[in-house]
Amino acid sequence: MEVSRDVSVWEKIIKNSLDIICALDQNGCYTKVNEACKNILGYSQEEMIGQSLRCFIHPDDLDRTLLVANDVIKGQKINNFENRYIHKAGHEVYMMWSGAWLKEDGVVICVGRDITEQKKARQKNELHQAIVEHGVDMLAMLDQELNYLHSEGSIHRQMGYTNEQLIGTNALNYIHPDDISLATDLLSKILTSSSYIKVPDYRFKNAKGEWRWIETTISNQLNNPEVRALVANSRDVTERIETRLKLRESEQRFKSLFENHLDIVLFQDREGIIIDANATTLSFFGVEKEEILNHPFSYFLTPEVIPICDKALRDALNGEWVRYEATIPFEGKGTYTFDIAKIPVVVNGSAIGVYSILRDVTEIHQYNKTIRRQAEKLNNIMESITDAFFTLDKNWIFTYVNSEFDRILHTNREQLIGKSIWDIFPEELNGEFHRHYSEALETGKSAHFEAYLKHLDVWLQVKAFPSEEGLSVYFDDVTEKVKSRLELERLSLVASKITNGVVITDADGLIEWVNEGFVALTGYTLPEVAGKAPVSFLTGEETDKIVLERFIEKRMQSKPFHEEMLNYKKSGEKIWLLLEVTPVLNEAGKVSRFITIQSDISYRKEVEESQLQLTKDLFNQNRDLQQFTYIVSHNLRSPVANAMGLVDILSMISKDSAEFNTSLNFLRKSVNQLDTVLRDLNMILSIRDKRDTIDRESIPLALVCQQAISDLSEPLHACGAEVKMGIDESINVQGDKAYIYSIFHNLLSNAIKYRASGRSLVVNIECMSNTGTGTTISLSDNGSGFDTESAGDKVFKLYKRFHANSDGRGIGLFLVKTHLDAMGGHIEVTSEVNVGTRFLIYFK
Amino acid sequence: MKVFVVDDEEVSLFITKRLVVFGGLAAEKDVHTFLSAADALSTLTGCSDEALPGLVLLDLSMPVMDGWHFLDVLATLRPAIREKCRIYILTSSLASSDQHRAAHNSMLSGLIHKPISLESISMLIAAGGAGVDAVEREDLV
Repeated sequence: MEVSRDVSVWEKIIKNSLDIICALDQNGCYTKVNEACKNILGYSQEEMIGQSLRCFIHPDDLDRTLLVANDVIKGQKINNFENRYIHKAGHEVYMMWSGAWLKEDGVVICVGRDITEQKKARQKNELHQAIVEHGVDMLAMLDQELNYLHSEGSIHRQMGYTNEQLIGTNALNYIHPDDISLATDLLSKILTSSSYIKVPDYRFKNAKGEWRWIETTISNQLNNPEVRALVANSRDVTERIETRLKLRESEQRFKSLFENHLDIVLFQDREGIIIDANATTLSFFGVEKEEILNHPFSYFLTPEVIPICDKALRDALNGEWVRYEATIPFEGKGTYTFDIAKIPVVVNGSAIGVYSILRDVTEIHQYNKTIRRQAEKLNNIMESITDAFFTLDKNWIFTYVNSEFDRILHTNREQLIGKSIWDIFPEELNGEFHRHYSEALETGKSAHFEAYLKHLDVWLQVKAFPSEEGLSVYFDDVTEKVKSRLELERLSLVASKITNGVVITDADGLIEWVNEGFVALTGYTLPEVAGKAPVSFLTGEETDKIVLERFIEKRMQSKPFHEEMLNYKKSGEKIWLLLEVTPVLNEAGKVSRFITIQSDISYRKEVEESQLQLTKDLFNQNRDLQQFTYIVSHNLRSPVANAMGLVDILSMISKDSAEFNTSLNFLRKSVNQLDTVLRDLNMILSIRDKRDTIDRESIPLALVCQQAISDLSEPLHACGAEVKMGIDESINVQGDKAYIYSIFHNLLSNAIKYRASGRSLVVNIECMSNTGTGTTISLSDNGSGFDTESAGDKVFKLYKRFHANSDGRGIGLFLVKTHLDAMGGHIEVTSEVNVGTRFLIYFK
Repeated sequence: MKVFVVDDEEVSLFITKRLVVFGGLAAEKDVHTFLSAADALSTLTGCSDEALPGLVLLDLSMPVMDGWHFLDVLATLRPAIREKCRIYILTSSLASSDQHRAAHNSMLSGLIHKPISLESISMLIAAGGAGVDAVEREDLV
């Protein structure tokens, strides 16, 4: 009974146990199970008994469970074995088992407790612990003054502070001075708030003294009775901040590089639209940024360069780096040359756009062009040097040879370059050229010399200039000059022995040499006259210009000639020279110099001069004689002929006839006329004889003129004439008083004689000019005048008359002229028929 | 025969006229004298062929228009006058240059020196041929 009662108690215990108590057979099938299964696993006792445990255990734990079950069957007791069951509702149920094998019954009895709650709580705790220990967040509790009350989490690992070190200290002690104000601002904010506040990045000192960037979220839990603190959840964001700073810096660097790039830099998208452009771009195009952005780059280009730029853009968009040079004309700006680089920006394997860098190389291009041009020019200059020219390097190798070199030395310059001068002219090695060139190279001083090149029979005048590179040499063929100089030396030797003047000039007539005879004749020495043309200093004022011109002209004809010329010695003394000029011709038949032999012919010239004067005098006398002959034949013969005729008539008629008397009167008249002519002739001849011996005294013109007027007052008065005498009394002339009187007397008589019939005579006498060289008097009337054109110069000739029906003899004007001639003056006349006549009288 | 005498000297004209009449070359009424060449020229160029003289005696040395000038103008204005009328220079000049010049002037028939001699007048009559009037000549004598 007791046992039975016991059994009943046990049954009750089992029945009310909160744990599962069950029995399993060898095959793992439940044979007994208490009611707890319903509560724990959701299955009823009936649903479980007879079923294998496999049906209820979490598949993941099954194998492990079977192994343990096996061990139990073998007699091993097991405690605290944990596994998971699947609740009838589907969720996991954590179980802890203890079990034992009952050999006699052949069953395994097990007690299983539902440990799901404990398990989950433990898991949560472990998770929390793991998060706190291994997470990134640092947790702290602070009082309202920010003193640490507690800390946990990664703060130790990350900042190096233990909880103990922090507690009691103030958080502000760890914050960077620059960030303190930020922290205190936020503190005041959080104290009045009950929610979160996020503290942005600030710097926090770690245990090593390094500044770390921290981001903190603070929750005001001061009023939470469970907490009573500010809860700070912080995270070390140093890396993020630094990354961000670095990124910003790198961006800044790029931006700066882009913006401040001295070249034009712009970014185009795939369509070629300008997305960004730097300052240089804007200043180059002279536009604002808005004006250039969102335009295709081709907008700024002329049509002809668009295809080039488009192609470059396409190539760049294909991922290539493109580099090219383009000459682009811009409207109103001129043409620029750019070195252009196009760099694609590749994102995820495809180009999203292209950076273009345009470097203005216009100037460099220009420089290059200039350099090229100058090089060409230099070459032209070298070629155009009329001298032969060549350059040698320091090893005597020809580096340049011009065409004149070839011409003089009969070489082919292309074959000379690169060869040694002494290989080309081996016979000159150690010769004169070699000596001079070597010396120039050694001393660095230029060499000027003349030397003979034997194998070509030429004399060369050489200028050699040493330089860093070697030697620059100019030379000229002076064979002719040298030979001509040698000849001149020989010529001079001969000429020096001659007493005549000998002048040797070059082809241009410039003196090369004169002999002692020249020095004796002219007074000039060789050094004074060398290089000058003889005519430039030997001729003078009285040298006949025509002779001089003829001399120069004859010299052009390259034939010997002679000329007589008045020259001047150095002393200024005149000397007549006979110049015998002989040109010396060179082989080509051209004049190389002139040899002039001077002979003094002054004496002969003097004789010739006096002969010439004599001839001139004789000629004049002869001319006068001829004139007299004519006068005699006409004017002297005329009254004689009349007398003869009258005598004939008288002999033929009666003495008593009226005609006899008439004839006799005419005879008297004729004889008187004859007498007048003879007297005229006598007077004229006497004036002529006196010409060289007249007394030259100072004559007051006005006085003499007045005298003539008053002597003619009677006839003047008779015809009602008026004479206006305007000569100033101060005017005197040099001459003979009687002649001057005669001049006025004759001219006034003529004025009366030839006055116009219809009007009363007016005579004007005035002085036109009175200077040192002479005095001019005008005497004009309003008389009948004469035809100046037909009368010409005959008016002043003897017995020429120009008025019909007047008693003029034609001697008055002749006398006036003769008188003036005798005093060295002269007279001119202008006249118009029926208007008047004007005489201009020049007194010397 | 009608005779023109051109001379600027009254004495010369008187002498020539008297001698021409004495010599029987022309009747006194037929001797026309001119004191200026211009007057003679205007008469000679202005008259009809019938009114032209058979002979002109021309002095050389005259003012305004001399004998040579007279001939030049006449040759221009009435060149055909040579066929109707003979022109002689009557000059006192003995200059050979005048003689030479006269010989080469186609307007002239000759040169006579002053004073005109009876021989010269006879020559003029002979040369004039038909122009000589015997009756007049007798009158003169």
